[in-house]
Amino acid sequence: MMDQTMLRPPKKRGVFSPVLIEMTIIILFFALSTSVVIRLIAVASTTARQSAYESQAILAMESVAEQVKANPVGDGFCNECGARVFSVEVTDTLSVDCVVTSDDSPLQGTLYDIELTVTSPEGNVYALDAARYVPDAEEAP
Amino acid sequence: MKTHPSHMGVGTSSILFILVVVSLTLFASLALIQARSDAALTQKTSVSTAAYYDADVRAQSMLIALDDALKLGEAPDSVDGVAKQADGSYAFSVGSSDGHALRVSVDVSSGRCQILGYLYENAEEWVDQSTGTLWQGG
Repeated sequence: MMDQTMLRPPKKRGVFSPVLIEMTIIILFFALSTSVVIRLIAVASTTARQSAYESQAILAMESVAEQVKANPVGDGFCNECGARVFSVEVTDTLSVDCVVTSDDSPLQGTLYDIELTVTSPEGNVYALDAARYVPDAEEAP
Repeated sequence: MKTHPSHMGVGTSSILFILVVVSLTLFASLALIQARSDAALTQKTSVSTAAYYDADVRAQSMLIALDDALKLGEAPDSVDGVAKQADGSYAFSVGSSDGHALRVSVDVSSGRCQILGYLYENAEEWVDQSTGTLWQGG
């Protein structure tokens, strides 16, 4: 005797494939671990970029310092404060700002104080101070 | 149509995933270590450059003091740190914070300082150390 329930197709049991479960877990863990790894790489990149810029800035400041020490008077143009202010552009993102002030208090010459600064695009300031004493006899033509 | 069963069993993708994650983590860690050692080296360079220019500024001040003393008719030895050498010249040394010293020698016979030597050198003594585990040859 067949009734209504016997005519219905048998229900399929909800069985997930083990491979599908494994892949789902893997994708989740991969997403998590990738976020950590990307953060590590980002920190490494930032550190490397900053140290490369600092290295370039130091070399540029040393170079400008030696140039100014070789000829502290330069073109002789000073601002109203008596300081020679100029900027040396090394690259598009790196320029060395230089302030040269002269001090005539020594009895036999002039002391030139050289202040160099580089400001990075991130706002870090690198500074270097140098000085050059030029005896009067050296300044005479 | 005949279907071919997959040979990839459960766990194969996990092994592959572990290998990929370990490799990524290793490379990222190596990149970070390299970047940090580069930054440390740059910092050392920065410190030694600042130390040199600091010593240079102090040496220039010493030269001014020497010149001023000569102008006032005082003996060069009266300036602190200046000593007369065997050859009649005068010399002084300015220490820097990174273990170097700027040694300056000047001639004052003309009534003002003329620099004879301006050397920035290591001020620390060489210390004999045991060779330890180094291969001695033979």
